[in-house]
Amino acid sequence: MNLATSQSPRRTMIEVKGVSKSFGSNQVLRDISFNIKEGEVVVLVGPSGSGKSTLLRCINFLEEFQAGQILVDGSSVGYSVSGSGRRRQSEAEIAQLRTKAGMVFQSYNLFPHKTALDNVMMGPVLVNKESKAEAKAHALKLLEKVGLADRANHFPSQLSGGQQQRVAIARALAMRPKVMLFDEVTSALDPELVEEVLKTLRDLSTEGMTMIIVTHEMQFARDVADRMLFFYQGSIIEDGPPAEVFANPKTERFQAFVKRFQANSHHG
Amino acid sequence: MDVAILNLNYLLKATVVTLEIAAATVVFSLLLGTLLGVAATLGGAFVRAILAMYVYIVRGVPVLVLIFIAFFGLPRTGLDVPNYVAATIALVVYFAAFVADIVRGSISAVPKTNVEAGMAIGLRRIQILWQIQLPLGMRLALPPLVTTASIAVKSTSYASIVGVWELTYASREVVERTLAAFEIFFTVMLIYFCICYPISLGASYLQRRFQTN
Amino acid sequence: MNWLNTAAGWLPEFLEGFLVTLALVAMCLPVALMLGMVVVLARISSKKAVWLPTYAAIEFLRNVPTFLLILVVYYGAPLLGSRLDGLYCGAIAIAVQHTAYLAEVFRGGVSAVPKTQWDAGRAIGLKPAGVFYRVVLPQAVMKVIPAIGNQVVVLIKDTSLVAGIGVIDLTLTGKLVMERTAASYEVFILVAIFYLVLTTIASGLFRLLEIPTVKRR
Repeated sequence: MNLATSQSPRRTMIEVKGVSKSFGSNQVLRDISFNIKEGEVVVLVGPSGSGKSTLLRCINFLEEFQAGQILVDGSSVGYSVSGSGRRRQSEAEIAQLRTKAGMVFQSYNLFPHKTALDNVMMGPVLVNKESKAEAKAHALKLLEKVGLADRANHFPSQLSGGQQQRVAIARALAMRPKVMLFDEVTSALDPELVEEVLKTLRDLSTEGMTMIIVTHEMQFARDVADRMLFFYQGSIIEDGPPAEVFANPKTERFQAFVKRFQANSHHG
Repeated sequence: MDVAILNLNYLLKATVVTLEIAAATVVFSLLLGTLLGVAATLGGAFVRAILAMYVYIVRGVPVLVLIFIAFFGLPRTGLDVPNYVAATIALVVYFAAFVADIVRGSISAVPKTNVEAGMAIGLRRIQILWQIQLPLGMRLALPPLVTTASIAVKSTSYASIVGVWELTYASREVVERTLAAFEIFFTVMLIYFCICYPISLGASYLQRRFQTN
Repeated sequence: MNWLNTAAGWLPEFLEGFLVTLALVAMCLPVALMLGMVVVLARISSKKAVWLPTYAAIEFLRNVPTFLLILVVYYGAPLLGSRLDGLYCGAIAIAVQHTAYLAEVFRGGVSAVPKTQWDAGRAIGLKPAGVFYRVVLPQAVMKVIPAIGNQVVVLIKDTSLVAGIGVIDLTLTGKLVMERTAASYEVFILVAIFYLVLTTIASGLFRLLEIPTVKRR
């Protein structure tokens, strides 16, 4: 739960308006619309192929979309929309906008030829043009925050999967993003390593970071998320606080989905 | 084997020439090939198609034919170069194609997630190429590049057919003079082997090392 | 395009040279393929007395220039009392070297065949050589068809080296035509086209052979 929430209205951080996307003839996202406020922790769940990861990747324009608009912190992502229609942004504009959103991937995240510290420093030095000294100090702080300050000079091959993901989180945070995007970050990990990553996510959520998390970890979703969006075949068919969605699901599909997960859950 | 020892000095001098030609070939084809490979990565389908055509032609034509084209053709274009320069140019044109194909293939073999991770932190295309794709790609490219270098060293022997004085040419001279074909050629083969076998071992070692990483 | 007309006038000679090239391929390729399959058996033997010399011979042959091997046979054969034509000297050298190349290619394929296949073969009563030739090698060959195709192309190109000892193959024909006409280096472009056609057909044939193996997966 996000403890930084207060009674005052928070501004909108993410706006997704009527986004549709197809891969060839296969429509993956159907007219998706929702808003996310600053500081909200939103979890995207659903069966494989339901479009949740695709939508996440549209937010930082790793995927294009044929219709609709996405705004991050007020700026339109990927396309500039005006009265006369939309034009695709330049490579420079897109790169710049990506710094507003930090993304952590499912696997093989870190650059294998650079140490943990170098991985975290790369963005600030190369993109934000910070000095190496500044970037290094900041990077070490972030590594401490995720509990890996002592591994700063290790290469990814010398780190466990869980440690690599935590460094990846630090690397994304180094760009001081407005929102953090997590794409099934624990799915490729051995069960023992999942908890350390989830803990890092929990800590982040209590600090007021806007987070969008695609995950299969239902217990984690229930504990941490302010809001849960259930994707099914390209549409969002449940939307609300996890407790409510679980207690009063509107659709049978969600009920079936939850039953399957409770049966397969390795958290027992 | 006394014949071999008597002529060893002569043959070793020729070995130096072989090594010079080989070094020039390897260095220039690496430079040219890497440039072309990177260009094909950055450029669109058109550039890649041109590279594909170039590789196809070089793959299907014997080195010797290229050496003949260079040897007989260069004087025609006004460039009157010594025979070893013509041969080296032909060898460079030949091997640069393979290098380019290896480099292009290796860069594209770098897992997409590394590229996407770079994009996610806001890196520009050029930065991703320079910081991520090239370093990781060249690691993948090393084993086949080293193998290509070994083949290049052996190919220098074909320059002897257009009269370039190097190890093979010198060995022929000595054999025609002394008629001790087996002793001389065995010695010369040993020399080539001592140059090429370590290189091929290096390639195997690199292959194993980057397999586990 | 004057040179093209000039060269076209010499088409019969080119075809003769092309036939010599084809003859070399026809002589060397089957021999190298068959001998390679025999040599690889020695290479994978567990007896050191067998695989060590085989390994040494293969590595030696793979790391010396093809042209030098041709010269060895060319200058060495007379010393052994034979009066072999240059064509056959070249054929012997190329066949021997490509036996070594192909043995290595086959070895790669053999090592990719699961060990259980060997057990299965012996379990049905086959003797080791039988297991190898009837069970393991066919699977190994299927796995390395692309690599064999590559080697075939290399062999086709290596035949051009007999031009260096005066055998009138396609390449040397080019040189001779060039010297006897006003045409210059452009003649070799025609020669290159001949080789491209030949190697493209060879590659194409091997690509066709790959299809059944891909479908099975």
